[in-house]
Amino acid sequence: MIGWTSKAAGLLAGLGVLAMAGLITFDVLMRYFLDRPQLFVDELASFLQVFVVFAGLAYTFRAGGHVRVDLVTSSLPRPVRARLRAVTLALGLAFLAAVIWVTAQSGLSAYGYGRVSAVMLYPLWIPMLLIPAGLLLMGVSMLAAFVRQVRMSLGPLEGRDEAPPPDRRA
Amino acid sequence: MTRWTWITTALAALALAAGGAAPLILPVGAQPKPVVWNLPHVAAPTYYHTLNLNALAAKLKEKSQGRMEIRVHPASSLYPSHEIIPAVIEGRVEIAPVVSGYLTDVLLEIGPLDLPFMTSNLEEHRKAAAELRPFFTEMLAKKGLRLMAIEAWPSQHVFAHAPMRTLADWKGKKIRVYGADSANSARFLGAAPVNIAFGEVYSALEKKVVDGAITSATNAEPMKFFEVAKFINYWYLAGAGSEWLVVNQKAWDALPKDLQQAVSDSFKETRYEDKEWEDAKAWEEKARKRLPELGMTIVDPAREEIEKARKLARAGWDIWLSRTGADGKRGFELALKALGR
Repeated sequence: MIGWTSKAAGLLAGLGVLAMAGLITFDVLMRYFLDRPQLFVDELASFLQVFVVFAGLAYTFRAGGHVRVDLVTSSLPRPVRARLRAVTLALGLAFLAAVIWVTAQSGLSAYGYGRVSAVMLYPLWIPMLLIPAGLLLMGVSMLAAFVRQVRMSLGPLEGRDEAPPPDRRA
Repeated sequence: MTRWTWITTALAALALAAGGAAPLILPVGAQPKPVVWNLPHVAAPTYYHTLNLNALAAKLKEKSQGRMEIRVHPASSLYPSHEIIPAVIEGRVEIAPVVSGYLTDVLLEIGPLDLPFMTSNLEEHRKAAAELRPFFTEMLAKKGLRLMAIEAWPSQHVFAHAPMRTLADWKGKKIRVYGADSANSARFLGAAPVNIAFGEVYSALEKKVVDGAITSATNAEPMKFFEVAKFINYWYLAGAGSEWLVVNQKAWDALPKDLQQAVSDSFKETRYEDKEWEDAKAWEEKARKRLPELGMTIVDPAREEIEKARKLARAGWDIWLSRTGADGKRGFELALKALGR
């Protein structure tokens, strides 16, 4: 279920990139050749950018695509590495929980104030709530990874290591 | 666990506990921490708004004998421009400017004077703003804000690659705008509005993405617009841009009476509000003198042309009125009365 949802969000993020490219091309062509700039494009493209980044978080996490520095961990014994990974995942979850809380509050406050974008007056709560939604999906993926990692860390000694990302491509 | 491990762990825990408790124990004679108010702003560190706020902060520190500080964060370094108003309403910062250019939703009703072509120059804007002070105070109080001062940004004109002397010169031109009201004005005057962030205006003019850009003449030199636009067309799209310096009422109420007095006295002794309006005028005059030296041509459209533009732009006022309800209507009528229209 988590994998399916992450993949679907990742796919939508990819389509979002295409949509952004299409919109910006349309605006440039209209402005350059017909002197008719499209005011809505700038704001819609900004919203799409937020969507692309946050909808793709969970998919990227499950594919092991987020930036990691393994300079130290790669030289540690496998069982130590396994426990360290569990600790860092727990820290990551705590950090995500705080960010989800703050960004959700921010989005809800934008809804309460009826905040809108500067030119086209689009409601701002929609792109703002995409941030905690994307982070929540990543948080759920991270929680699953944490559970898997704890099991592996406490399992048979020969099998203790960092759990590989579930969707890593060969 | 060995005995040494236990001893080391116990010592570490003791050290941590002692470190954590340290801030709770003040040495004899030590000063309590000063009250700090954070003040985010959009203006550059060298712009007159920031200079005047720094002077106010210095005076407050002196008057409170170091018991209170205002920390000025210029150039949107604490919050991006559109986030400043919600930040002060929610109490994330204690004091902040409400800049009319960023009124898009919350407090939109306090901006009737800032509608396109509503005022013609700084003096007229200042006089009307003074008359609307009770209205502003009431509207801001509804959002939990205490009005400390009304100030202004200089008038808005059009930097362009070609002279724009008449209304006909607007037709078909791609003009940089910065919000819904300026976009409507540009459209009603026959231009094609393009929304471009202030920081990107230089490159947009340079690469001819736009034919012109609406902004203040005082930006010509600091932002180097004179390098990429040879004409500045004095259309006075806004006689001035209002700014209201406000304090979150809860932050104000939390101050001891003597510090409240120190804040009020600092405003008086620095002549904060008067100095702001004087500087807006001085900077505007200085910019106008400086523009030809920078190789720019000043274009002053005829008064009849500006009047024609004002009539066309009025359609935008109706859109604003439809969004601001009864409070907006009241403010609008007060503005018209203050301006004698």
